[in-house]
Amino acid sequence: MLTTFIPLGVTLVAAPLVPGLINKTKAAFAGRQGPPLFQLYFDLLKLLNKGAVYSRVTTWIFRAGPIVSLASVIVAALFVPVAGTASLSFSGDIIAFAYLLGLGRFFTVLAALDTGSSFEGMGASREVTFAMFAEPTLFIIFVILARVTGSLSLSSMLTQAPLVGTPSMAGLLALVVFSLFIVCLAENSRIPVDDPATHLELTMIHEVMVLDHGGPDLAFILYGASIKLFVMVAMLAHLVFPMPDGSPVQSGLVFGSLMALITIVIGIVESAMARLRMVRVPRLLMAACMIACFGMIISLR
Amino acid sequence: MNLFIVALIVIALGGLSSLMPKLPQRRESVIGNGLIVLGCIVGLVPAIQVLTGSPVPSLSLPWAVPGGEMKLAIDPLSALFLLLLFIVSGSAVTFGIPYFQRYAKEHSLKSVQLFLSSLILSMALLFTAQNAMLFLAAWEIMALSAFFLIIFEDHDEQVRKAGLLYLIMTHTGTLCLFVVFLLLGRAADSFSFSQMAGNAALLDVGAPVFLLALIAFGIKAGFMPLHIWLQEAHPAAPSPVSALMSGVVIKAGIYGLARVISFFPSFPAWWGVLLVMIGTISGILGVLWALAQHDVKRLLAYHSIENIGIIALGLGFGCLGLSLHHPVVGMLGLAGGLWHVLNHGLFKSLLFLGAGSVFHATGSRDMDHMGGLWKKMPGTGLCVLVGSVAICGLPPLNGFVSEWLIYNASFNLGLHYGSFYFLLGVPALALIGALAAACFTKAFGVQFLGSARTEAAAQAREGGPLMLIPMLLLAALCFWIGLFPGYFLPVMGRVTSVFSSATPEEFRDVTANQAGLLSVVSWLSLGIIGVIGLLALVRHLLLKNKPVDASATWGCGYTVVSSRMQYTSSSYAQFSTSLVRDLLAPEVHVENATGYFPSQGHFESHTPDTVLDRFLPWINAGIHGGLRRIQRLQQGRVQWYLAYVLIFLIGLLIWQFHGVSVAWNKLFLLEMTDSLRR
Repeated sequence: MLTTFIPLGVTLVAAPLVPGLINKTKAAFAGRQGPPLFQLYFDLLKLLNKGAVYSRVTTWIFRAGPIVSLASVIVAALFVPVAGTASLSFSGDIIAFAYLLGLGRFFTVLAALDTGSSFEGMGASREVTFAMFAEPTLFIIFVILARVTGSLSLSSMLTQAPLVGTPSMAGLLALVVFSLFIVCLAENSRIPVDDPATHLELTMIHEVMVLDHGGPDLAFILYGASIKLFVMVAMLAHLVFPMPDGSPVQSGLVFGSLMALITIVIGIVESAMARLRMVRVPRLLMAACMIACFGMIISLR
Repeated sequence: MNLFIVALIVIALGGLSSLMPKLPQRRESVIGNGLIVLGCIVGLVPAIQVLTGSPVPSLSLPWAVPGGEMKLAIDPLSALFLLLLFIVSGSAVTFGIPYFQRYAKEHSLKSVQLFLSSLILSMALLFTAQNAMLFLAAWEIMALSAFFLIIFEDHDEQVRKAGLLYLIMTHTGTLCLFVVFLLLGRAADSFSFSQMAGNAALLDVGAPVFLLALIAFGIKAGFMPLHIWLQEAHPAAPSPVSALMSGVVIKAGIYGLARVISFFPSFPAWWGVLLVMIGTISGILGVLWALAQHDVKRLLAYHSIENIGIIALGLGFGCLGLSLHHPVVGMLGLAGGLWHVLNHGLFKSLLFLGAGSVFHATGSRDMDHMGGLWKKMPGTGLCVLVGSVAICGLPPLNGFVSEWLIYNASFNLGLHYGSFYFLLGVPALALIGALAAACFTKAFGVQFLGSARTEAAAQAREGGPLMLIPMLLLAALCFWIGLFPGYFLPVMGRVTSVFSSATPEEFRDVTANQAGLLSVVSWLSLGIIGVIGLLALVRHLLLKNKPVDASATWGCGYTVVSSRMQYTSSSYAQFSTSLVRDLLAPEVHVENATGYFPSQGHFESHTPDTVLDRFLPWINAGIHGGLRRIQRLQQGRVQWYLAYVLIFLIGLLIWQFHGVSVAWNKLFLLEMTDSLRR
């Protein structure tokens, strides 16, 4: 029974490493030493031990926002495989996965609007606009994977898709991985869609939405964001390379190194690119959607 | 059946009690409405009986109408709609008791009560009628009662216009409906539904019947582009009436369509494809227009169009599954679509009642005049929040369950058939979901969160327990269905067995299979609530002995923050709607603030309905232009008119002569050939 929850446990424990590794990569590119790999753990501990300051405008929606978004991300993480196995998997869990992320977004946005600040309203408006593109793209990717593997559960889709050995499959997978990568960047507010390093620019999305949160609430938000990033990187990791059938140690090693690799790629993208102008972002997301659509057409044969 | 008749009589008494002259208004409204609510509660019993698997005997009475027969029966499909009707009507009528008091000074409330009762009665008859004549009669009473309820505030020109538009549209639909039932009746040689169901003779008239039914019922249900009356009539009607209209009346269209489809023992795949396409278009365009609105009831009306689209998607997948003989897709699609009828009826009437509660408190429907209402009206706020989460299809509420089934139908179709059209359903649903979330974070956030934008919003108060209780009831039902969908799946299995083209045995297997999955969904929903509770506890413990201060919202150093700086509904939606500017074509009037010390600026935007306000006038202008050319004939001079008479007579003579000569020739030739043969 307990072994079922090992993948979820790994996700929950290791998630804050991903932002740490991205920051290390970025520091290396900039010729800096950078914050330690475990910086987010220290931040979370410190925040959890703090008190809180709430705006007089806010209601309990503001306090519920971080809790609901963290809870929905944790439950969504149940379906995502770690090293080939997921804690929970059933036919149709892809829908639950996407809609749980949607629930988290819904409450994050409401919490932002609760402050009555135009900054947060701006961030909220952008967040929901980009979801307009990210969600259909994610579902088109699911359709492709469902057609390729004949399965409707996330873990078997992700683990079986790279095993289908036809030549056209490689091209299809490349399309899927590319558009999923962009969705991952957008959903986790990374460069070139959003810049997680600053939060007071008028151009920010996610960071500006959580401007008024502090203490344990902010800890919940940061932790939830790192889980979401971990989960999407894990999805990519399963698609780029099949997990070996051997011992858990072996597949764990393969999975770990793939995770590190993809995380470093995100770090490289962030070091090498500037953030896109806000009006350009929908085009990038639309391109990802179109690429996924191409994949869907190819998968029809 | 006896209980059902008792319910109808009690509801009728409730309506007729308004005609008694002597009672003081306040008491009369309580007695009459109380009777209607009582009738609704009694009426729930037979509906629930049928849905839980114990059939109710049908009822036949003599009725002296040619081809007509007063036959009422409750099969599972009827029972599902009756359940929705009685729950929503009971809630809306209860809500209406305090709500309508604001009109009591200048308006008689007798008409509302009478027409509410006749609307509920006619819909109850409609859902149980077993004869086309009876169905049509109930359909007309329903349409007219709804008309009189819509024009309740008839001193307002907008309301009168909306009512007229509704009347025209509904009668256009009725016209098509006459043809539908005439065709069906001729093919089945009877107007009785029991004769039509499963009758192979119907196959000959399949295509015209389906297309006309799609128009007739589509107008009522609000399929794009036949939706044009909906977004005008819903805001015009008083809120309890809009709740009833959006919750049940438009579902009568879906009921009719499902009923007509259920007659056919088999049908071609293009029926399903057409429904899926209509569903996709209505869903996406409905929610896009909703996003651009700032009148909350107009926004909700467009969302009804979106949800009708989702229902059509479900029914479309169901029909595809039936015609392709794929029971999984068939069962999931039909069950999902019809379940969404129930779910949408619940949360949409909840949202309309919430809008009514806000209107009662602030006197406005414009979201940009509100803000911070949560602090003043926490009960309404909570209910509207539940409705908003539910309508976005998010777990753990009921919208998720029905959308989950429709998604599954769509995915299964995509797995087994490699057609591009079949695959479009999934991204369409995802897009609708994302847009709905954008729309309801806006609707809820702008109204209830932040700080008050006007004095009226700052002074808002709850409308009292009679307004809150119905909303809480509907919200509780949304939660119940969302958390324990397992109870409802067998019910949906029974409902889908009504379809003649379905094979009940196969459907039963699918139901059993899906029941397992739905129990996982149920655990998942409970799990989310559990994790939320756990995290809330953790947060509570963490903050226990820590300083928790109250302060102003961080304004980046700016200290004179005012409520007018908040994002409004228009500015919130501006980024997303600007991406589809060409489609929505909003009318914008801007007066920019200029100079170093600008004194004033002005911005106003309004998004009209493209079909009603742009496309139809364009068509009308074309027709007008064409007719103007003919207008030259109308000179006003008697000589000319006499000349027309002369020309007409000559024409007639020529035509007649021609006809005569042809006939003569024929006769002559016949004789010739006859004589030749001899």
